[in-house]
Order: sequence, then structure tokens, then C-alpha cells
Amino acid sequence: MDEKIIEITNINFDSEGISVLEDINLVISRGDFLGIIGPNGSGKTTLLKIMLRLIKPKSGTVKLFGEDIHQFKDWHKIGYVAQHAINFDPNFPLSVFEVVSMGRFSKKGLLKKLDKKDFEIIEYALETVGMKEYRNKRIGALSGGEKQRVFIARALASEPELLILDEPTAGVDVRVQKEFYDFLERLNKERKITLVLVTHDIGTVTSRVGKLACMNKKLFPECHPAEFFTGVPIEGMKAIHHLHGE
Amino acid sequence: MLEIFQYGFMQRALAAGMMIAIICSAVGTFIVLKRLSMIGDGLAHIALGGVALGLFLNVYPVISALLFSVVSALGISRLRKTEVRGDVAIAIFFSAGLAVAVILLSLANGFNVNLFSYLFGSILTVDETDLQIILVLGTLTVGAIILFYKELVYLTFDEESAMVSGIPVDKLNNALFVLTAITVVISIKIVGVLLVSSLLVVPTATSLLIAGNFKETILFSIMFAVFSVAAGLISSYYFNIATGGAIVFVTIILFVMVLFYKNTKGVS
Repeated sequence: MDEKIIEITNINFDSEGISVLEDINLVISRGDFLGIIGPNGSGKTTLLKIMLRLIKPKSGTVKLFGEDIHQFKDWHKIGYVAQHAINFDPNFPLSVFEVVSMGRFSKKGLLKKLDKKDFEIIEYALETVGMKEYRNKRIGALSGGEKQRVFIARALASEPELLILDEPTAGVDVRVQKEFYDFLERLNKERKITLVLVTHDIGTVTSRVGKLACMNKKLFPECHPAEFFTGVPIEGMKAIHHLHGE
Repeated sequence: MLEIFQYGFMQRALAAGMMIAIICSAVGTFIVLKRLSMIGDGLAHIALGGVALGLFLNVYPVISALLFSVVSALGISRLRKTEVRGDVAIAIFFSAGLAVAVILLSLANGFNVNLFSYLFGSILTVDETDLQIILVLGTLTVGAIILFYKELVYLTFDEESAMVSGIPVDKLNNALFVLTAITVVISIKIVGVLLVSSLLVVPTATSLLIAGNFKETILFSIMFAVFSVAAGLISSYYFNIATGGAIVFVTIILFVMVLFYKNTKGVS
């Protein structure tokens, strides 16, 4: 049986009395490349934040790598690139290298300085995303796509087994998007990194991910890309209508 | 020109001033980048309440000021996590501190010369006790920043990702607020309640104009602050003007000069 990386059981979440997530159940196994699609406000980001212990659900449980989320300590196994990661203060005084080095902090622990091995891993992460020659540039001076790559390098620097990306292609042009998905595919196949990607843009994602789940308060797992445009279960269909109605 | 440092009071003033310059700019870098520039001003006014209480009860005012501002710093940190916004949280504590100060002053039948020295700063009356307190608390503050440097940089830039990577963000935020409170209180004697936040903010603002990374920002900020304190101190002696005002005025001149330099360089 496949190793369960994330196991979400009966998650409900309300915001000011309005239901945001209803009875979500989801299992992500090692090696999966899962895309979660849904319109804006469908609760995708909320679900990710619950998976990452940034938000407490109203009810339900989350297990990460087989462990209850409240007991989970190995946060370095998870790389996360937030939705608006690239919308930071453009004058913030950090070099590309400094940003990527943050990826090592969780593995290092408090009070410990980064050493030669850490620097090698940081260089390797920069190389993986093709940003090595930008290492001393100020992060705010880069383009949207370049910033995105730096944040992915930061996530990779913790040598994650699971990479979670929230709207990673927002603000990145279509040509770069194709390269980006090629890159994710390589991470998934060659480095065996489990990937979870959330987006409201159903264009490219449907054809590039291994599994697809549709979301609109409820989660409809296994809505396979091929089924997506042909015969689909009624519930999945509703979700698609919402997507197109956007 | 250096004969002025033959005097004991000038030596103490310079030593205290240098320490304050380093601490203020180190803490100030994080505060400015967290967009909490006004917290220094808030904590300074809260500290004034503490100073007034100390003078009223006849205890060493720095102690009561520390108590007031550290407790308030934790309160602000807590309040900004609720529905109250950060700037409002600061304003509420600011008002409380000032109200206490004014009430105690009226009870003590008006202004007191000693209080003036805390309001405007009086670097030239720094005594051995002040110097020791600055040395101990200043070392503690700088030490804490060095120890938790990488985590503080991370949470200042991106709190959410720092949280996901397992960094104890809430605890470190509280610690940063407490360090800011300590910095403000030990700086009050030098530059005064009214100008302390300038020393916290302006050198960093200047540094941000030219620094390319975080380390440079702190380093340049310290350099600007140290220069300002030295230049302000010397000119206050020769021109017989208030030291705090002179120091902060130098920081502003530096800011304008660097801004001018950057803009003309940008044009060419």
C-alpha cells in the first residue's frame, strides 16, 4: 500500500458563521502530483492552511506523514510556496541568496548557524531553478517569474518530501508556465517529491498533473482530467460549472 | 578637538551613546521592516508613565519604566493578533501611558526638573548606574538578536512561511517586542522620550536607501547611528545645544544626503 503523506478526515471550517469547507476527506500518497482546482473563494487556500497548521479547523483531523498534525515536528519535510509570496515589499533588503537560505532554517533548528553543507544545498537549489547567477541580486529587483523561482528554490532548500504550491503561476506569463510545469514534472518524477498544487486556472494544470481534485466548499477527488470534459459524475459537474461560471 | 573627552561625563556620555546607537539600529532594522515604526514612539510614551510613577514613588525611574513598557509591549503584541490592528493597539497603550504620566504629574503638583531630563534626554548627566544598566541590558539585547538572527530575519520577511517551517513565530515576535521596549527605555536617558523613536527608525531608513541585503542594512544602520551620536554629542558640547536634538538632527541630515546621493547617482 502507498505511504500516506497527508490524510485529511472530515474537515469542516466556518468563517463568521459561513461555511467555507464541508466535510473534506483527502488522502495524498507518496509520489502523487495532485492538482486541486476550484473558483476563487472555494476554500482551496483555507484547506492548504489547515494542512499546514496555519488555521485550526472547526472539526476533523489532519495527519502529516502518518502523525497527527499537533504532534508533527518534521516541518522541514514540507516545502510551501504561498499564494501571494511574490507580493512582498519590493524594497525589502534581502538578496536572493538570503531568501533561499531561509529554506535551511527549519532543518537547522534554533541557535545553529548554517554551515558549508547548508551553503552547498542552497547553491544546488538555486541551480535547480536556474537562478544561480542572480544569487547576489536584491529579491525585489526580480520579475514575477524570477521571484517565483526563488521562492521555489527556498522551498527546495529544505530538501522537502512534499511540496505545496498555492497559485504558483499567478502573475507568470503563459510561456513561462509551460516551462514551470515541465520543471514540476521533473521534481515529481526524478526527485520523487510529492506535489500538491492549487489553482483557479484550469488551463494548463488539467493536462499536467497526475491527479485532479475539484473543489467548491466540498472536495470532489479523482475528477480525472480525461473525464473532466466528457462524462463526469454529477457532483464533479457542478464544480466544473462553477469554474466556468467564473 | 578631542580634549572634550578628557571629562568623565563626556566619556560616559560617549560610551552610553555608542551602545545606544548600536542597539537602536539593530532592533530598529527589524521594527522598520515589520512596518512597526511607530512602536518606538508608543513604548517611549508608555515608559514616560513608568518614569513618572518612579519619580512619584521615589524609586529608580528606569526600573518602573522598564516594567511599564515591557508589559505594554507584550500587551501590544497580543492585541494585534485579535481584531484590533497593530497601529490601534500601539495607540491605545500610548494613550494609557501618557494618561498615567499626566495624572501622576498633577498629583505631584506639576512639572519636575527630573522629568524634563527624561522627556528631552540629558546625555551629559549619565551616571555610573545608567551606564551599567545600558551595558547589561544592551549586551542582552544585542546577544539575543545575534542568537536568533536567522529566525528573526525570516519572520520579519515572511511570517507565514516562517511558521510553516516550524519557527516559533509568536514567541520570537514577543521577544522582539520586549527587546524593543528595553531598547526604548535605556535610550530615553540619552535622547529623551520625544526623540527615541527617531534613533530607532531614521538610521535604518537611511540604510535601506543603499543596502543590498539584510546584513548590510543592519551594518550601515549601525554606522549611521554611531556617527550621528558622536557628531551630535560633539556639536551639542560646542554649540551648547540639547544633545538628543543634535543627534537626531544629524541622523536626518544623513538621511537627506544619502537620498540626494542616491537620486543623483540614479539619474547619471
